[in-house]
Amino acid sequence: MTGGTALGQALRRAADGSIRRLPRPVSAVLRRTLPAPIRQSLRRLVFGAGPPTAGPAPSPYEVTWETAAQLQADQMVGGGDFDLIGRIELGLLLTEGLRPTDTLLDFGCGSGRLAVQVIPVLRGGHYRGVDVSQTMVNLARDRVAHLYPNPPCQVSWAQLTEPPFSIEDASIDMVCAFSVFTHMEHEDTYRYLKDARRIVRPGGRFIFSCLPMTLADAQEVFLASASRDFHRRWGMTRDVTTSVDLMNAVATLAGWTVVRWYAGDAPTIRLPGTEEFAALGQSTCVLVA
Amino acid sequence: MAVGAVRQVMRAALSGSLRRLPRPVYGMLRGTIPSPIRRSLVRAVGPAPDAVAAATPNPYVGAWETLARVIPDDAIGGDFDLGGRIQLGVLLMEGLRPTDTLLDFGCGSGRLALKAIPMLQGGQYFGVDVSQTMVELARDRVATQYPNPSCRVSWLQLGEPPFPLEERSIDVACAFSDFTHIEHEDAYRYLKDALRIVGPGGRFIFSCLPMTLAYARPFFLAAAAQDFRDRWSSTRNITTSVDFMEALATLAGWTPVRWYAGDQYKVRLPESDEFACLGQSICVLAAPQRS
Repeated sequence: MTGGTALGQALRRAADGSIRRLPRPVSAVLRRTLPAPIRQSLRRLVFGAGPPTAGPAPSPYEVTWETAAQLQADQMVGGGDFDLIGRIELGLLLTEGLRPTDTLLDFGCGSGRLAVQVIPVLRGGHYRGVDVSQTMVNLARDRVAHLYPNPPCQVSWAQLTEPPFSIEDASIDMVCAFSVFTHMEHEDTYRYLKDARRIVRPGGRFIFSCLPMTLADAQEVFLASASRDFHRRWGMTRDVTTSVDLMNAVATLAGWTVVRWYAGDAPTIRLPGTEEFAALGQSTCVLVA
Repeated sequence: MAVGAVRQVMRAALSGSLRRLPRPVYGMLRGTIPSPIRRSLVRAVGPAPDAVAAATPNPYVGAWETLARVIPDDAIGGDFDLGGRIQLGVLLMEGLRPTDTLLDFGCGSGRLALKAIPMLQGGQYFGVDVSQTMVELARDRVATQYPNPSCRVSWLQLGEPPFPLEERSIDVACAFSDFTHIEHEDAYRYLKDALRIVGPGGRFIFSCLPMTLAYARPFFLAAAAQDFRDRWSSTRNITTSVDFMEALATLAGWTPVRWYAGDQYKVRLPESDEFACLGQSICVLAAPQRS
């Protein structure tokens, strides 16, 4: 085919969005060359509708979490003790240097478990709650509005189903993601970490929890997941386990420096305003930009 | 290549009268069309993926069957001849004997089969793949090369565990470039069932892509450049870590024995003094002595 390179170039430019329709000569070549079904599938792919696929439904995260949020009593989301877990999470953020005037991004805010603990601490700062499920965001917002009609910091909420974050560069002091990377593929974790690097100020932190297979709890979660076939695994909120090495590698690739880990089964996190120490259950990793 | 010929070939592939694209057509596609678009063409030419997917509880069968029908059969997975020799080299270093029964899980189009069958004198070679077309390609290739093989040779298409094999019927199981394409949970499901069919002290040798390998990271980044749906719409590459694979193998009842790092020249090529590496890391597991 003469002009093969020109064709490839045109298709690439169409695929990355820099041209909105194929030049007429390219269309003509495709029409002459390819049978209609292939041409259609090519067109769908180039212009973004995406082809019909053998895989599971489009990004299952939003669907499954929205369903979970609607089905479950909101205090049940995330399991465990709603109040205690929120306090442990806040304890971690304080230990890692969260200041009252900071802007905190609570990625995967759920129904407000951390929000109700951290908002009173942020005096003059900014709390930003983000979740994949709109119902979850609404639950958190209502709970916070009810508890703190006049919060001491700016409070904002957003639903986010896919990276990137709709947040300005270098505008966040600390990001936390509790029980978020425990539910998505490592590639999606990478996508969020990569974009989070953009929105965090130099020296800012990213604190996330996960389930390394060294934890007995993680092994149980893994086995439960392995008892289901692929489609059933992704047909509900998916639990994803990992390892410390794998998460370190993913975070490093995304441009972060790993600072330390809190093992999920070691009571090393000081509860705010007490001399008590507790463990989160999931292991927590601290990254710095 | 004449445009008319390409069109004719595409039509033949679509109607099912052609099992896969001839090499010149594939070569032209590769030279002309960026890879995401090429994959969509491959999907279009292959069997209706939705129909295949509906019949199986995973996306693997459809994706690999489609690939097997379209790309030249020895273009799968790098250098065909050398790859097979390295794989046999590891099996020999790990004690494969001529009279053993070898399970080649993910036999593909016969890369390892061609090397292992002449070596198995009086043993048995068992080739299994998720794609029926792949199994047929391997079977045809072996039948042509070895009309009278020195061991029993059997073939099987398998879309999901369990293996339809008797307990303790296998001496050595290998899975090259399998766990690099399925979820960790599915690797566990196969490993768990493999323990049943492998005798006490038997071995399971698999390859994977730990993120410590520079070779693995581009695979991870390429997958991360796609969203979930696109990632799973064709054959999927999955990376991992040594500690993760050891943890799930141990959970499945195996004991990790050793690793051959994918970038270290530690695998002796059969009947030579040369050493090579596979690119992927290789892990050797042992079954308990008494199970």
